[in-house]
Amino acid sequence: MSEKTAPAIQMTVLSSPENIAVVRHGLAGLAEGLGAAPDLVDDIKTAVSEAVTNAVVHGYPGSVGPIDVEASVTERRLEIVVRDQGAGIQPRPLSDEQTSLRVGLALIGALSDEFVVRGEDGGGTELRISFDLDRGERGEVEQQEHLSAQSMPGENEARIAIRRAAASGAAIPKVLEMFVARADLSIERLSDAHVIGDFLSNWTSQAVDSKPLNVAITDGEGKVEIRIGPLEPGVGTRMLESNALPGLGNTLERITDRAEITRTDTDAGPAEYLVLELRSD
Amino acid sequence: MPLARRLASRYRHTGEPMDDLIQVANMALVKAIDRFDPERKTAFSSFAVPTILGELKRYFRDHSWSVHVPRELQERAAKVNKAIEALSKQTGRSPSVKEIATKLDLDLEQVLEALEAAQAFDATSLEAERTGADGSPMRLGDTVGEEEPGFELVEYGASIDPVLAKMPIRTRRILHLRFVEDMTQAQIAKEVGVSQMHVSRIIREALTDLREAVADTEIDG
Repeated sequence: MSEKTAPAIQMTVLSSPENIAVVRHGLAGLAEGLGAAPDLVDDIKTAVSEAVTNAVVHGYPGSVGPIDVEASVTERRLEIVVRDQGAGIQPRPLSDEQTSLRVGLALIGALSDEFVVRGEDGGGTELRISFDLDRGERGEVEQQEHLSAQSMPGENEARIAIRRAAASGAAIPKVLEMFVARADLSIERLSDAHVIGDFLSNWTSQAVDSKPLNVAITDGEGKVEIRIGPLEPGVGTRMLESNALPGLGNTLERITDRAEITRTDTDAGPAEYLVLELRSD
Repeated sequence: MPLARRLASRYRHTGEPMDDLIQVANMALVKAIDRFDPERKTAFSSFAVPTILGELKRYFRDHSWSVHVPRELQERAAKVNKAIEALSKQTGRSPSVKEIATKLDLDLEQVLEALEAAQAFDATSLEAERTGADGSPMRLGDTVGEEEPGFELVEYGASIDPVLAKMPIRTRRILHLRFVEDMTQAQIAKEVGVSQMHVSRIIREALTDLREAVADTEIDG
């Protein structure tokens, strides 16, 4: 992979139709954070919807699999890559489904500034969609490095890795709020999720090292779990304690139903996770 | 932080690009310098602050909500607000996004967008009105909180934290009710006499401000 494609954020979700909105909403947050004009944000949302729909419908017809979404920002360009490991593009007579696929891809082509499709029979499909952030307005961003790939997400799970950059942090509250909405939690819990999102966003923007922050978000019946890590030993505790605010106690512990540090051993040595949970009231 | 930038930063949660806000504030500062009459013997800041805030308010009135937010979204935000009120009354608790979506026949994303727009509107319409009679900057919370002047002393005694002390009284009260008394936003809304949405926004902003303030203190100290 060349150094110019360096994701500021990477997200992995399972190819269920309801995850289309998660990806779209998250990337809309990213685009807004980059200062994209409203019309451009709309175009990005539509293109992302089409691309992820394509992976859901054509990548894994009749089954499910992982969809990887990466967003990289170079000087004035936002590049979004949507990748599946599914059936690939198949040379066969045009069915209705193929026609809708063509319409979808044509739409992405029309809305984006550059669009590349890569795929072969059985080898998965990769859609690489670029947007000129200056179309409409400014975009002030920093160069990003490459992020490590992530493993297969569970059901109802989105895995996100964000780098230190205010803009990539903007996607986190958006993805979180979509999960809270999906889990049927109240708008008060939604507001709590925003606070958690703000905190994570703030944490990444202040991080001293340039390691990505990994966040796995899962929704179940009446609850959303946010698993942050793997983190170096001590970091999870520091993250949690940074939410102890003067005169208020630990605000993160107060707004969540569970805020705890779990420790595990990984190949790279001991690691810890900060696990947060929001439940319906 | 320079004056214009500081005043502009009050509006940073409104979704307006910070650069634009700073530019508006800087232009207003230049205007204030032009118009300032040193003979009058008033401090420059007491003249400049209302001028800059006035320009920022005008900017919002002309540019923000009505221009940037599509009409359809404005209307949707109003509908979502009404639905929250109706559902809360009906069930006695805050509704979920799903419940709002079902009631209005929208999808989850549309409701989330509307909620965000409604909060931005709330921010511009309410916070733009907080210049004191003497021209000094003042938060809405200061006026609303005045009905209970003894509150602060009763609640916190002498131990009030200096960082928290810089916040408007009503914000402090809301934070206290939420984090120390562990009340829900709906309960706080009732107690303080504002909407739950407004409580939610104040908490979100205040925590961000507090985090920044604590970080600043750590750097300074």
